[in-house]
Amino acid sequence: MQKISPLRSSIEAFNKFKALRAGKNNETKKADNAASTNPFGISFKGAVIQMDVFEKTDKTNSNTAGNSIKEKLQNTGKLLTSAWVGTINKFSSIKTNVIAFGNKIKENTIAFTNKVQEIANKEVDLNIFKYNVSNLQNQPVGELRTMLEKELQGAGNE
Amino acid sequence: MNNRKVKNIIEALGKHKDEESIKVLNELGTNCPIDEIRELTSKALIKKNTHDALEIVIVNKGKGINDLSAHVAMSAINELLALKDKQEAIKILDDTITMHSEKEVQDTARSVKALMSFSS
Repeated sequence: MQKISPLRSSIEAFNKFKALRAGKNNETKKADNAASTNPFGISFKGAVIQMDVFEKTDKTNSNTAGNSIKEKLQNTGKLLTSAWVGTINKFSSIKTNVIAFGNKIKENTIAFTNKVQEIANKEVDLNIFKYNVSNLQNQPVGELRTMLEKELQGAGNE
Repeated sequence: MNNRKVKNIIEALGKHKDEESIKVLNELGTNCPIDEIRELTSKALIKKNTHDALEIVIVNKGKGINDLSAHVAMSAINELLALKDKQEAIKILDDTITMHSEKEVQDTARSVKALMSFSS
């Protein structure tokens, strides 16, 4: 009976893992290939739509010269359809972007309006020179009395 | 309370030429429950250095040098000591010592007068 060393067993395990990973990679590549035939990235119900979709299922014989013109016309039709689908896709993405941009502008406008209202509600004393001693000295005593009463009343409530 | 505003108003009343300002300071400032306001008012009245203004802080019990708060009273005394012309203040202190009915007020006036005579 062959004696298996721990080193050999670990190498075998690694080789198995390597083979398994290579198999998985091949599967992924196949899926990628399938997607690469779809240049516009359109999918229908989860399945990637390929160029074959635009091909007719009932194929006709292409032996005659008249058929070759017909074939050319068909190919042109296919290309036009592909281009049309691409345009639709492009427009739909533009539409999504425009909607997102509009929503962003709307949110920003609302935030800005709220900020403006917040600032407007704050009592900002713009007349900074009103309470200068030199300015107050020139005011009548009655007015100073009212101002002092108001300030002391505010102090009493705090 | 906006300290800066109150301080400036009291200072302006102290510098005001109208005699009515003394009345306002006496009614609103010296009767205020806040120590800081009473201190500022006493200082403003003393700085005026007029008979009516000095009388309020020297003669009245619970105001100026007779304030219940030691801090306010000491501030008033310091302000009196800092006066350049102490003549009017000493005259009122003399009258208080001889004529006031309250002994406590008389004693305070006597102490302040002694301090003033030392400082001048």
